[in-house]
Amino acid sequence: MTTGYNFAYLNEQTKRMIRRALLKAVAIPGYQVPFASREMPMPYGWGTGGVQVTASILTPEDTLKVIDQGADDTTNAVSIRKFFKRTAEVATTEETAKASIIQTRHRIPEAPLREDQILVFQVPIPEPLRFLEPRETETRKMHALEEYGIMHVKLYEDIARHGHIATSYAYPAKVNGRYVFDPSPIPKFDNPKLDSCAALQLFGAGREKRIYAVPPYTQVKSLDFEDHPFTIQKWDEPCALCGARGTYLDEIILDDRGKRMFVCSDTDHCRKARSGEEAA
Amino acid sequence: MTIEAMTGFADQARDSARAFRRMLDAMARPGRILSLEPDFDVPAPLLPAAAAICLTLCDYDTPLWLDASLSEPAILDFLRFQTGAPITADIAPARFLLCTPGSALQALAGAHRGDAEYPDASATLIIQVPSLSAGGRLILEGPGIDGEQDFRTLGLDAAFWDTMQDNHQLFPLGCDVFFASASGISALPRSTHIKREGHA
Amino acid sequence: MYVAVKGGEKAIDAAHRLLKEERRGDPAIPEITVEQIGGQLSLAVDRVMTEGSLYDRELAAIAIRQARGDLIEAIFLIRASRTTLPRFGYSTPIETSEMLVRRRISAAFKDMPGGQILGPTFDYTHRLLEFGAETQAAEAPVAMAPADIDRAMPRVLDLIGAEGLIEPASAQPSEPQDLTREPLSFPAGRDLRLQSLVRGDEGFLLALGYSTQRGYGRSHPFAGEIRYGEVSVSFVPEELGFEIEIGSIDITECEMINQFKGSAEVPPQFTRGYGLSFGQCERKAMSMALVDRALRAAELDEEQTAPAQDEEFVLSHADNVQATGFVEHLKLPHYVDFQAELELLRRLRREAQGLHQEAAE
Repeated sequence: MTTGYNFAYLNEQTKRMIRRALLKAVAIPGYQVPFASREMPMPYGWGTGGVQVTASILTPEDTLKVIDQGADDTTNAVSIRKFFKRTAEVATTEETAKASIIQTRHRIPEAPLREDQILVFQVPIPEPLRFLEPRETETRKMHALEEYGIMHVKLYEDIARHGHIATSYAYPAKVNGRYVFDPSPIPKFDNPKLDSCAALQLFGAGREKRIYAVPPYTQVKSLDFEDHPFTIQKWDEPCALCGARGTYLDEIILDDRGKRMFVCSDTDHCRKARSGEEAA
Repeated sequence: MTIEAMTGFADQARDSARAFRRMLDAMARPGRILSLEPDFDVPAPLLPAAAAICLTLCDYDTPLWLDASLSEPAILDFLRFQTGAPITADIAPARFLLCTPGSALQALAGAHRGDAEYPDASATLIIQVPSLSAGGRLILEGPGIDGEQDFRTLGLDAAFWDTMQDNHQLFPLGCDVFFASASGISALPRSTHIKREGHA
Repeated sequence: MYVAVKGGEKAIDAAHRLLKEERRGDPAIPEITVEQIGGQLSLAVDRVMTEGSLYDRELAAIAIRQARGDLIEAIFLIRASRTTLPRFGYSTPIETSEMLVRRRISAAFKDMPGGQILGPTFDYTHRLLEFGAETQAAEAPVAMAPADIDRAMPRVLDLIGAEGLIEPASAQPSEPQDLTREPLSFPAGRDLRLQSLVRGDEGFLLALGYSTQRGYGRSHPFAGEIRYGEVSVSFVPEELGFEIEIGSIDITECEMINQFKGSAEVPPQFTRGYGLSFGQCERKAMSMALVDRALRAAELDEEQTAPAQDEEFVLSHADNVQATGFVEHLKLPHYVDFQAELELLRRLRREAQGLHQEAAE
């Protein structure tokens, strides 16, 4: 299929600019590198950052998987997968194990990732301090001075008020002992997977024009307090479809009388478990 | 210069994408050697792997500095034609510095290291080395490395490695370094802690 | 089970087919042509070109048709298309004092060299719906004075500038920066501010400009001059080394005159606010000039209290392509995060109830 567009849509100058930013992001783990994000043919807020990162790292030999909410068949995942099929003619897959690049919104796959895989996150608000301090000029200073007091105060106020840290997703973490970063709106259930992951993890925020990275085998420590250690979500029941325990579950409302079921959010993992394949 | 010598990537979009993946991999896994053998000829003494890095990353937005041994007219013509990068005679404003072991210390000491609010404003060094498998053993630790990683190069002296250690101490400021040999590349980002045998 | 889990691809395709059908409307009625949009909805075209950052009347008209008249969607189409265009370089600055003027008014002077020229304007029309307006197409063309290309039309602000009553127009010491090439960082210079405002949403700038008139960053504006017409665009190709004219564009320029009380170093003088747009986007150019002036508060050592004076606030939120994307992204599935919130809320409520029970026992 000829598309009339350059390989992976972006022109070469744009890719070079993004590639330079990516290398800086990898060299300074957790630091948000500004980049001249372009208008893409999908709206800002719908994964333009992730799409620009994927377009800049993609080679013709790659196999791409795109998930949204852990699922390959959600509307936005379908749309982005189609975009790369069309503009880069790359192979695509729904199987985590077969993918060399996985672009994701809001989840990290349940199966551990490998060294030969790259995970690309779509990020809406890259600045972990943004809702505590709306000004970029101020938050930039805080990162420069490694001054994260307002974040600890916020978390501590949660504990004082609710008895818990009341952040359940986009849970802030410190990368390589230096930068506090926003792991994108993944549930905090996924935060432990960020830590010392074998795969390179790249984060793209298109509207906010930032790229950042967690290199492989890099420490990612979710913020907490000694007397209130970081914990993740747990469910009382297993997945209603595959019976798995210890996976992230979506709640599905079945009728108007409160009947509900819980199923794996990672659809590939769930499908594999049901078919009896090794889900790793 | 012949026309042949002026060709770059045959399929710019796809070949530079492949080259970049090697470079990204190298930066993400410090000290690992990745093969990078582009399919075009380059004027000596420029190494093909170093040329591939320049062609993948440099353009009119990135001033490029070359040391004296690489500032041959044929090399300058090649890089100007292929990248459009402005060639700068000064080290400080350069975004990329292309050097050899003899000039690496000078380049590293003078290159832009970024500033506290924008540590990404720093320069990147590309150092051509005779080998990535011979030479004194260095032990690397840090992001991208599962435990420890061995690293060897020829031709870079103790003063250079002292400055590389200082470079790491400046983190998050500092330069990132690509090493290019005849057939491969390796990288040491500023985040890598370098231990030398016989040194503390 | 439900669309978000399975069948997404089919559902998307079907939705897109339906959209095409809806866009076309009743097939018994002829499709609106790009030429009709360009000719009869020309102000919509002007806005799409201005905020889309691309001067191409035909592409803008195509975008408006494809967007079913949704101008922000059309602006988005133009911006996305712009991403794929090669960049040849920068033109030399346009010279608006050499404009071939179609409209030129000043609210500050009754008359001035070159005169007041009303041109095509809604001003002074009675806003009465003209039923059956299509029959008026048969009216005789408006008699116009022959264009007098030689008539001097100096900019009004230059006239009072000669007397030193107004600050000089700022001369940019260096090449202006370009926010489409480098991400915006704060504080931005006036060059980047102006670029950001031209691309900014007309409604947002209108509201902000209006707020300065109501006391939120008041600057006592006078419409020094608004001019609309054609200017030529020149370019210096690297290989030629001299300037050649490559075409002309229609633009609207607005220069506001604002009060300034002076300081220890500078005697009292008027200050400027500047607005510019492609085509005839007069409301946009005026709003932009008000906001430009408000954003100069720090430079002019004025107290900064109002939203329109807050550079980071204004520039971060002016772009409607960014804004609409992020607002509308709330339509995307968020059930993983919502589930996380449900879990947390249930736990907190359980614990709170447990505490109440303990207290009651």
